[in-house]
Amino acid sequence: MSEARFNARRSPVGNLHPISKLVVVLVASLCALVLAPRPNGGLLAAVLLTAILHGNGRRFVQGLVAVATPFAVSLLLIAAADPDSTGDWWSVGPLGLGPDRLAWASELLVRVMVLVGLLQLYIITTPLDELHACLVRVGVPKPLAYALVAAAGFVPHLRRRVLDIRDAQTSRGVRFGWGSLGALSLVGPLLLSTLEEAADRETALLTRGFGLPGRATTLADVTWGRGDTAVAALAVLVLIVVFLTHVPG
Amino acid sequence: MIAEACDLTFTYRGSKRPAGLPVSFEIEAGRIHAVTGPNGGGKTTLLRVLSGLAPHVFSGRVGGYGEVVGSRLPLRAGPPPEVGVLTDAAAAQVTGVRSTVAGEIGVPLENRGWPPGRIRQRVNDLLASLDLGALAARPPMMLSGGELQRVLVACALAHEPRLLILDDPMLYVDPAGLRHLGRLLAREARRGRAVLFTASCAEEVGVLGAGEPTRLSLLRAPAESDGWEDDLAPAGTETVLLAMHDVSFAYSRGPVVAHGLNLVLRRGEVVGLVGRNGSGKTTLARLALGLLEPDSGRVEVRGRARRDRPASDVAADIGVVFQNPQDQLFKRSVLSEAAFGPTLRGASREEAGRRARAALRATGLLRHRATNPRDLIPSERRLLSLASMLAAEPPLLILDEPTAGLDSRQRALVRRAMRLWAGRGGGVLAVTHDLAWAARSCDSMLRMENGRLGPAGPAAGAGA
Repeated sequence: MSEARFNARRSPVGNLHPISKLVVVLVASLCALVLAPRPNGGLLAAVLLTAILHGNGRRFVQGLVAVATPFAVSLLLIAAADPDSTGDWWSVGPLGLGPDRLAWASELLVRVMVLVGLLQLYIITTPLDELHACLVRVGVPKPLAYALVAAAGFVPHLRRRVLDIRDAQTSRGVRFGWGSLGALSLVGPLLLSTLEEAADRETALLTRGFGLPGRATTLADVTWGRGDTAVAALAVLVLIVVFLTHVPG
Repeated sequence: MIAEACDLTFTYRGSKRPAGLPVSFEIEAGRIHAVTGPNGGGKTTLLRVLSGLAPHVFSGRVGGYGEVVGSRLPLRAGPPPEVGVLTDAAAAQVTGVRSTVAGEIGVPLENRGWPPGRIRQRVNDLLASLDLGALAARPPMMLSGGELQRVLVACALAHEPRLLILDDPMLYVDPAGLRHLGRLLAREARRGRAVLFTASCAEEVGVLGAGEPTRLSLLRAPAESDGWEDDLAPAGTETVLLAMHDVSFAYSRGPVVAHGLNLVLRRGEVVGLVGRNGSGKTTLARLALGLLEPDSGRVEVRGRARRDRPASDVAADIGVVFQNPQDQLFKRSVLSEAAFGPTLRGASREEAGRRARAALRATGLLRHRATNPRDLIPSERRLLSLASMLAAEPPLLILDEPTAGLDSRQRALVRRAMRLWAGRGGGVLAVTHDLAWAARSCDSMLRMENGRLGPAGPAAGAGA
């Protein structure tokens, strides 16, 4: 009987061990916080390219835009109100718009996008089974391992629920624009069903034996390969170089 | 004896009366037992008490005497390890931490510390028994309702429990799936396990084909019958309500689920659409409404090309009752929920209220008009979804599994509503697995098989 049925769809990135991927994500996140704007742009491009190679480019960009848009608006407003900025192209009262303000906002935005993109990339390229298996094997208690993995799967689950509810409300004639009716008809069922689901999920965990004493086994086949060693070593090397070249003193 | 009870009752916290009547019974090893009775009669509550979910999760007080696998009721610590449970909130029982169906079925075994080799063996056995082999590598959340239901039965059965408790295991499952389910339950009973399942409809009990189960009926006086008043009528006069010409569709990176569909639905017709789980029936409904765009072909609604119109606009012509009705419910009362559709289409408050009352009367929910929709039991939520569509008076109704979880009286209400809607010049497309009900209720039946539409034999609905 094929083992494929017990494991999720693979890709070169998906084949990596969840821990080696986690090391890469942590190192890249630290780099994004420390490095100047231009390398961060390159990092963002690399993250995007990886998502495309994994086969999730469109969904990845949609998710990134959904998170980045409110950030961009907030950063622009903060930058516009900065009293210390000079050389504005345009100003009205305490607000202004100029190259300094835009540079500050865009630098911060790219940094946020890299961090969000890395997290998103980790979630879409790591089968939940394997993440759970890693946690259980290092001795994380069953309920805690479940909570951590469920948290990783929460955003995709929420996205699915939003789409389902939007379809259900559209079929009643609700239009989704800026109006409060559309928002209410979406948020109301989403909130209520999330609360109901939380209670239902509790029964699911009870009936599946998550509360039983004793150590759990795992079905997912997760092995640490040479590729994982190479990737993790490279990430650590990059971290050392960045630390030596960018951290003062 | 696996379980027994004498005058067993359960009173939910905050309620003054027990849910259902006191029941007394014995559940023997190696036998299948069916609990039947009208919805709201206490079937789900009984299963919650026997599985330990009540009072562990659902707070309340157990009355009378009862014992399950050697433990005295109430089971305050939750389900004993020797009991396997499928609850009524089936979809929410997916753990959300497994990427494949096979992995999901293995979860209870992992938590019991079974070695991986033995888990694989057991999972493969269950996949084969329930004809789920083709779905083994699919994500659980991407399954159709009936496919998911079978997967969750496999999850409940995986750890070889002495007592298997299943709340409405037949929900959404197609006839072929029911045969597999029936054979599996019969096999497990032969191996000495006791099986206890609920069925909303007494006639459903035999459908499993697992021999004649021991019946336990929870009877309750039927609610007063509501009438159908001459208050509701579908809008418009066009003859053809829905036409599909050579429509094909495939999900992104998925199989083709609609192959050159041709369908014409006229006023006065009630058409049943049957087919196996995952054959594309729900997709057809979504294509009609505009929630999905066909890859090729043309969809016309009331003679107008659907492609030019947003789905929210098409909703005035097609009312869809989805499999999961609670995604539509967000108002504070049943009455305001039913009045939402007419209000949205510009009806005055009085007019919307009048139509909402008429629709609630037609679906037997008028007495619940002040209730919060979220406090209704699942079958009543489904009826409320139908009522809110009737109140909006669209010429065409598409009902996705309209009888799922409904008892005999509620099924009759839906059937009457469909027939009267067609009689007043509307059209109805009922997507269902309930072949017997569809044969009684529909004028004609279509079968969807591997994304293709074809006739499914005669139906007797017009005269029924």
